[in-house]
Amino acid sequence: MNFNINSAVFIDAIKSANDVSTKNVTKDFKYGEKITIQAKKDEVVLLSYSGGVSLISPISASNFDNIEYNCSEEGRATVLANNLSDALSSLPKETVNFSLANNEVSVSLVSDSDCFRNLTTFDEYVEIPSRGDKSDICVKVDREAFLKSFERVSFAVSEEDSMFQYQCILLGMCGNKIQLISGNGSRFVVDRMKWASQSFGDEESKIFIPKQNISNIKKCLSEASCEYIIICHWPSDTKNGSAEQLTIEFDGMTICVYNLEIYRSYPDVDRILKYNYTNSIFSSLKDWTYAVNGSLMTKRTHEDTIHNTEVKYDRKKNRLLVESRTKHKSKTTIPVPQLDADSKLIDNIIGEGELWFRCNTDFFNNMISYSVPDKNRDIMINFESQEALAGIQDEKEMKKKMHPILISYPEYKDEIKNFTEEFYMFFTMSAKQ
Amino acid sequence: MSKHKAFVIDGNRFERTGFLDRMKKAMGPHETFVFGDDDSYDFVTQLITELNVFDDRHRLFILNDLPYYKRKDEKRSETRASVIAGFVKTIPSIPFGNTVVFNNIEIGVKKFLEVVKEHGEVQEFAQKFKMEEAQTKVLGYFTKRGKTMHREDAELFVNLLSENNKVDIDMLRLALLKIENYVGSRTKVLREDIFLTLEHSEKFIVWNLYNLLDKKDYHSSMKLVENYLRSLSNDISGVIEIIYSMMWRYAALVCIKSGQGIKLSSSKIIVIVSSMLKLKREGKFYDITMFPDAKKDKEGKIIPGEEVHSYSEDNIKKFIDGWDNKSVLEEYTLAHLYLIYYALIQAWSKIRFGSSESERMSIVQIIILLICGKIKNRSSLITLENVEIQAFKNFTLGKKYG
Repeated sequence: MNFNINSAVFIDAIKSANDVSTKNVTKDFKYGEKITIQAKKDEVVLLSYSGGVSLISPISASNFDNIEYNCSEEGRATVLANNLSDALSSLPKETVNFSLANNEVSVSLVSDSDCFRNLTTFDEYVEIPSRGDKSDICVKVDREAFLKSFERVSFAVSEEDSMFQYQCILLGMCGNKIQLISGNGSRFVVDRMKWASQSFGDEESKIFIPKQNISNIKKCLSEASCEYIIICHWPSDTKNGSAEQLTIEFDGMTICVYNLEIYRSYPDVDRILKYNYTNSIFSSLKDWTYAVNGSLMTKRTHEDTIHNTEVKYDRKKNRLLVESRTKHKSKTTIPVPQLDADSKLIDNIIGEGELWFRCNTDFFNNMISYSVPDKNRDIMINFESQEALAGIQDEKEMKKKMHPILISYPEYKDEIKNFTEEFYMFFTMSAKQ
Repeated sequence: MSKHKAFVIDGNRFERTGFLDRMKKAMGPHETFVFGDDDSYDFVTQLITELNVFDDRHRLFILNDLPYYKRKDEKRSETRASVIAGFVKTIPSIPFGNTVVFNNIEIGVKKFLEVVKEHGEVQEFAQKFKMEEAQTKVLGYFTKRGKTMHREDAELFVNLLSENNKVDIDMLRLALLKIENYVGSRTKVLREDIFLTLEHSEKFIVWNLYNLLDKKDYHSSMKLVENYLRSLSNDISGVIEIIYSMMWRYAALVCIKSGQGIKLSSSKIIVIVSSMLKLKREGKFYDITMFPDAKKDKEGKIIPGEEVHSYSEDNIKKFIDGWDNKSVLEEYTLAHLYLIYYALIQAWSKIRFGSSESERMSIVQIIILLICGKIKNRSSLITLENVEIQAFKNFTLGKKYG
């Protein structure tokens, strides 16, 4: 193996591969921390595989400018990813030569061969698992929009090992709609993008993205420069023994995600979004920020680390009363406006009887912290009063009336890319006394 | 009021798992959340009191241990009461669609159990079976799977697993799975299968060894003894115990056989042999001394009629008449029995005088080979003879009378 390449370009190009091979590595995985460099006539390919995710990164003049790649001898070598990255960063940003001799890769300056870094090589080469012949889902998505949406929902993925079924992001596609969903069993977020001139297939399709690989994907997509990415799902193939996998192609590179088999029983989230709530009340996120911070403040003086906040509708004064369910109380009022920020009349739907609900204060904290761009906009809180549940002794009847609190954020329109984005959060009520 | 908000299930794992499986099946679509001592009380109680987000699926919360109260490093014994008291308050608030299972946490607090009973069920599954019950289970287990096992072998199997005449259900279940996997498609479960699959069992029943010896099955006998001795931290007490019990058995057999030889009546033989006293071990390792097992008065004299005999009259009768109408005496000639008894006495003195582990093991092996008829001559027992004792005897006798 012997080739020349511009080190500044190469450092950029190996960032994603370095991330995949060193972050979120399956314990004691044999290819963990390693990168195989395959020098070919027209390109150099980096292979990295951490157990849950792999990356094939071809680096050539076709996807990188000013690469100055010149291969005099084809070959391959496996080195430690961090060593490779450190060796390149510790040399001036100019053309370097990679050569393999005596089980060592020598990285030297072309202009001064006395300036070099030697890297130890490994006998084995990183091998990427094979995949089936045919993908069943393949969509082209705007990278920037996808990445933003991906980042917006990734906070909500379950952290608890006891709820492993929610340790993933669900990517759903149908018609012109693409949506990302994540949750922890009690609180869910949905980010839905509707594109004016793009279709993602007539049939509804779902792909699970494991939590373990979320940061790798984020890193790769944020380092990329392409406009579109191609997301494909490959079912398992018994003929060639390949497992189910998800691939994302960007900048000519392909990131492959494995271990998708365990996520199968994600609930039907659309049912919640379609439900007609008895109560839909508008309020300002800004007002909610004061109320929620007040509730959170009482945590310090409350013996529970997790506590609830109760929200009541004050019919007389047309406002919401937000009160912490803690020993030391915090109470805040939130006005229910008649007009929205654009001075349009709001159609609040307010049911009969006493209207209240109680839920985990952390969910309200999520509600104010994660929202679509303009925080000063109003949100709509859709709920069924917990009062209606009191005294019901029949489980079926109870189930009919049990619905989570649904927060609808204002629709966001991207005029340039020509899509609209809807963001929802829904969370459960608490019966804790 | 919902009667399936909370469950307490304690006892054997096998029935608990079965109970949980049935519960899950009855629930239909559900999601399971599993908690242990790594989760906080706050977190667990918050989750179990939250209403289900999706009305089409039930939520099952399984607590395999009590959560910590405030800090992970707290002394759990000190906070256990607070956690249980907290659950007493929380259980009534668990909404429909949520079910909490306290899985084998063994909470005996009356108030807690009362609350659970009010909102669900308390199930206690016995951890141990009686021997006969376990034997029936073993035979039933194989019959269900189209396999056969001899009743005697089932008894041996259960014996090997038993402790204080009871068998742990989970241990039995695992042992059955192991032997079933080992046997594979074969329909007959053999005695060898038991020894091969339970080779690491620490249970040793001397009667099983006698059965094997009487059948001249030296391979299984050796395996049984070796496994037993290997499982002990120090083999010497095990070897001494085996040799002692063998000495009494073969002494009894010698008595019976020679009694029969001189035409003594069975009843006379029974009286003689059943008067042999059982010995009790005192001391450890090389200090072990055997005394007649009997109640003693203040002066240390045996109280007549309070002795424990080695064999009951029934047992002696069984020696003579045999089990399954075949007496074990038929397996031995009187000369063979004398040789065995001689070997046991030699082995006993050699071991007591001092021996290494490998020496002890070879002594036991020689005795087994002898009993099983693989060694037939006294000359082959030379290794059992204690040269040091002989030399010591010669030396002291020489001094006294020389």
